[in-house]
Amino acid sequence: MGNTPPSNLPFLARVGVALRCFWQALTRPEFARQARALLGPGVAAAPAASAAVPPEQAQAPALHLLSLLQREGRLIDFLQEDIAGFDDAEVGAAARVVHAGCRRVLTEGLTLEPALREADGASVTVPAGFDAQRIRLTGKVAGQPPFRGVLRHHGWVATAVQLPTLSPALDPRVLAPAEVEL
Amino acid sequence: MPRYSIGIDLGTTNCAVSYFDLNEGEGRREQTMLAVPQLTAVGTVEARPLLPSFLYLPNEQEFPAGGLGLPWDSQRSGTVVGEFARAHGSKVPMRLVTSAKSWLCHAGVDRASAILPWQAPADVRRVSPLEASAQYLTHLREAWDHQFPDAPLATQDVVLTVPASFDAAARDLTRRAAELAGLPQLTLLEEPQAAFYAWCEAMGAGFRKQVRPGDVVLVVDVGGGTCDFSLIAVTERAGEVELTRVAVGDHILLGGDNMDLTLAHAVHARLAAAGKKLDAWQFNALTFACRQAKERLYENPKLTRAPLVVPGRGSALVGGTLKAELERSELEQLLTDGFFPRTAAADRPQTARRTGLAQIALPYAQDPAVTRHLAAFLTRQARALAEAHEAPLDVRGQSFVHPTVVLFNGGVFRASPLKQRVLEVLND
Repeated sequence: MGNTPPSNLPFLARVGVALRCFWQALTRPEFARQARALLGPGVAAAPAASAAVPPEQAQAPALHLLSLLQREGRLIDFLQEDIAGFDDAEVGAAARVVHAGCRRVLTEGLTLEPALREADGASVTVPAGFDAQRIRLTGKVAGQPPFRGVLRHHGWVATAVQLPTLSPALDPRVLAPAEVEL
Repeated sequence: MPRYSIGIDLGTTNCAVSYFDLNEGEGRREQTMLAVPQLTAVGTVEARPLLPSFLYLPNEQEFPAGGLGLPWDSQRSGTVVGEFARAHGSKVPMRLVTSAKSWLCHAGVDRASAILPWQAPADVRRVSPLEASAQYLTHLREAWDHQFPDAPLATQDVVLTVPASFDAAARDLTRRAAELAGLPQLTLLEEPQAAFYAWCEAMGAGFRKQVRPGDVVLVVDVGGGTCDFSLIAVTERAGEVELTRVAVGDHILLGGDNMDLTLAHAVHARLAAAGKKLDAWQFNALTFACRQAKERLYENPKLTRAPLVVPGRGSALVGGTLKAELERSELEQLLTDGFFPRTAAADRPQTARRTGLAQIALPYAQDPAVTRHLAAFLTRQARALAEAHEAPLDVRGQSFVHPTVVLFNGGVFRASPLKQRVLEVLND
């Protein structure tokens, strides 16, 4: 007692942090990048270790998002089906299933906002020093900002992400299991 | 000292937890719903405001190792509670426990013995209604403790709501379920009273303008699976408004789920007449689609019909999808008039002739008319109050109790035409 500075975590808490770091580094590329910076050159100098992560693990969150869109909105079924032989009413009915389900995934997993608040068709001013990732200029792109233009598409930005993750115990390549009724 | 005041709704079809921080001081505090992490698919945990009251009892080989893990127990196996239990259980009904709460107040069975899933085959593990309820509460406690490790649920100020119609045995079993879930200390509060307090809170200071001493409040609560009526008298003592529960109706097993099923059966009959067959899973999907169509039609009076689509179960989506429509006239005939018919005060619910067999399975209401059950309740209470000594209400000369205020509770009353119909029947 008393010798340990209060900021030192007990052993079990450190185990918890270590496990969380492991999981977050697997599922969140941004976290992995920051963790590597924190660990210093030792890890950065060992590219062989990161190359050993199989692509399905590196892309696990993307695969899991696909499985969510399939589960809720049957997106993969829809995209994999040859729809040439169906009439529009049939495609339309299926589109309602896809729309309702995939929309649920979007609204629950992401908070979406337009990149620009104005409505499509509105006149907008693009100031000097604008964010070139959020605003794309088209048409007569010449001269210096501020630019005057018409908003053709307001863009989309995910302002919050709370997508579920897949347990590391499972193979992310399985996007939907086969169903066998007994 | 508890840090949070927490309310738990252990519902027939959904559970929810709402809380506020006692440290935020007096006045209006921010009330929050606990987002309950639960399995939504194998290996996927999502936090949802509701925990469906469904318990799935898996076969040992059914799911991959680690696939049923929860944030607080990654190696969990054995049972599944919540959204995935509901969704997967609809495809394996013999392993799914539903409506545990209704079984908890069913005096015709031994509620502490392992009888659920009802009529499951011999090799399926069974649980008691008590244990199922305890599992839901355990999940909620673990979800809370995971989010608030410094303020474990067992040490907080917890209120658990029960239907006013729960008998002493059902209340006792609810307490025992809470004990099994590690919550030995909690307060039971009757649901209609909870609804009334919630309404007062939502009205703020304005509630005194809406309710005065002498008022008789009728709480009509129609949830997913049950329908409850109660009467509360508003009195005043030393300047404080007091609520006295005057009467409680029977626990009627009739709710929004029955309404959705009725719509689905009607649409199914039309599809079958056109030669289109639905399997059990598609019928479930149709029921869900009917519920959404119902909500859209009730919300938007300008719509005359709402589309219904039922995806096929196979991998062909476009080729396998069935479509139909729900007409407004059909909704009004089946739901508004079927479940909320215009009734006279003297009307009684219809009962089927007794078959002589003891009823053991859940005693679902035989008459779907909520308004007839309500008329019978108000008439019966008038008679009971007239005979009682020191009745809190004066009902002399009245054939039924006339409420002065009606409080609607439960998901069914998101549809304002149904509220209007109940008021219409009460005012006639």
